[in-house]
Amino acid sequence: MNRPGTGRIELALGPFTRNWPKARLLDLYAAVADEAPIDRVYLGEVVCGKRATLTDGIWPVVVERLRRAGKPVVVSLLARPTTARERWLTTRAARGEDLVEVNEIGALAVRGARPFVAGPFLDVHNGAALGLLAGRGCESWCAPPALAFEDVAAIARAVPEVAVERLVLGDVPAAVLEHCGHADRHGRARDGCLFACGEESEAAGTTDAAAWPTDDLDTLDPGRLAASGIRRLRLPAQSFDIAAVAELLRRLLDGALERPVAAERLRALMDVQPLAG
Amino acid sequence: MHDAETAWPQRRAGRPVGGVRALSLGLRPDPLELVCPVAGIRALRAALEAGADTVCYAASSATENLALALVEAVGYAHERGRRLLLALDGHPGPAALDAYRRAIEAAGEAGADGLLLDDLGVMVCALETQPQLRRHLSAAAAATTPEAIRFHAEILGVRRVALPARMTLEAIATLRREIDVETEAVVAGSAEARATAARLAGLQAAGIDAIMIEAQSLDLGTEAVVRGFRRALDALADGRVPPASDDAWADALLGDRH
Repeated sequence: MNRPGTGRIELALGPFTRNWPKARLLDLYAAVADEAPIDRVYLGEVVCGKRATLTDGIWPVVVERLRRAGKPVVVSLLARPTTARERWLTTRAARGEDLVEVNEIGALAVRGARPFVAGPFLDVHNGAALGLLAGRGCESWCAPPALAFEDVAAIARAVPEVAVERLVLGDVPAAVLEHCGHADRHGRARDGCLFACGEESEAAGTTDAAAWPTDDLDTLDPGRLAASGIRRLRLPAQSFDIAAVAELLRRLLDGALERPVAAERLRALMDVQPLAG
Repeated sequence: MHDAETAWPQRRAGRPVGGVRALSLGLRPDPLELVCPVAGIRALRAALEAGADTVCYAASSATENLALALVEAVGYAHERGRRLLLALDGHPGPAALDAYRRAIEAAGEAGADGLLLDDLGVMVCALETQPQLRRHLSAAAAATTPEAIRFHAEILGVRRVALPARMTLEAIATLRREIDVETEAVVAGSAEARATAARLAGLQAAGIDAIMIEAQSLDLGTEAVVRGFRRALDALADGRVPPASDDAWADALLGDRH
């Protein structure tokens, strides 16, 4: 296990949060499998339980391909399971043997002692909370986006048995809302949405998004990161060239690229609009 | 001597027997407990004078010595046979957690009846340092699935969960059948008193154990609002479940201001 100050900082890809067609998802994960220096892949529907049915068929293929490429896959669970069907899906996955990312605390009621990842939608804001989860099998924790770098570092130091992960770049979903922004904009109820999310542009999100400040590149200082105890950075699955962005971050973390140069190239690669909550 | 656990009403064991089902079994439903949030000793006195069963005390930034303030507040409540919870909601970061821990210790030393919490880490602190204090989960935690509530009950010993004001009666009744902890509903004392009265009757039928007055409703005056709720709940406890259109019921709820 890596200790603070030692070891290589890994890169992870977070779960997608948009309603993307199957072909696009297949392209994304093919690029991740073959080209991107990504060490771990989170995938699964975290935003809307209804949408999960649209893409069900492709996952065995995607997971198989990623595993063949040597990339561990973690299934991310819904952030707000509400309906009986959503609860059933979440509970079933949480009862399984595969490593899952828990995004709502109820999944832990059925997880038993099997290892899990604590996702960024869980309310974990201090070492006491993470310590509780660590005692129940939490092997990694992705900090919520609202938590400041120094707070994440303090928690990482307080609970060294958990691999701490932090979101970087792009915009990150700060919360999954009970109502759906896409359905609202189309004047439809959530239950009768007819997948309004598929009819909208990239900029429109279901989630309440907080933009990760791309100019806050201080936190991408390899020395500062190593000292913080943070062991993994999580990139969002968004509309940018994931292989190129991951490659750039990898070189920055390995000390093969100066920060100002990396910052400039990242800004060019990450030219995405913030989500309209 | 005030005992932390026997201070709470003893609920029937097992599944709740509320409302319609209780009546059909010839039982009178357990009376709803009236919980009022207060932010200081003046509001606390007003709420207790007006008939709150339990006050949920939130320390204000002006509270210089929480330990001392709590001793006074707990003493005042217990002299009248009522209960006091310390509200410690919010999610403290690593640096702020110590202040929460000290507040929990102060609540324990003052003999408070419990804590209203929503952060996992704060609950762990409470469990470690003052396990005898009852732990209630705040509505801010938004634990509304049976699984989420079960986690808090089984792992953190939460005894009661406060449900968000927006939950429908149907959803509450369904949830209530699947969990074994007490439930509390946040209710707004709306200017439309009849709507509030109907909501209270509906909540009792759905199997709710306690009513927490929504903090914003108290802007109209703690004493008057609490008194309105007290009258409404007393009427309900007497089995007087009026139709929603009953003006007398509305008057009882909000008194002169209606």
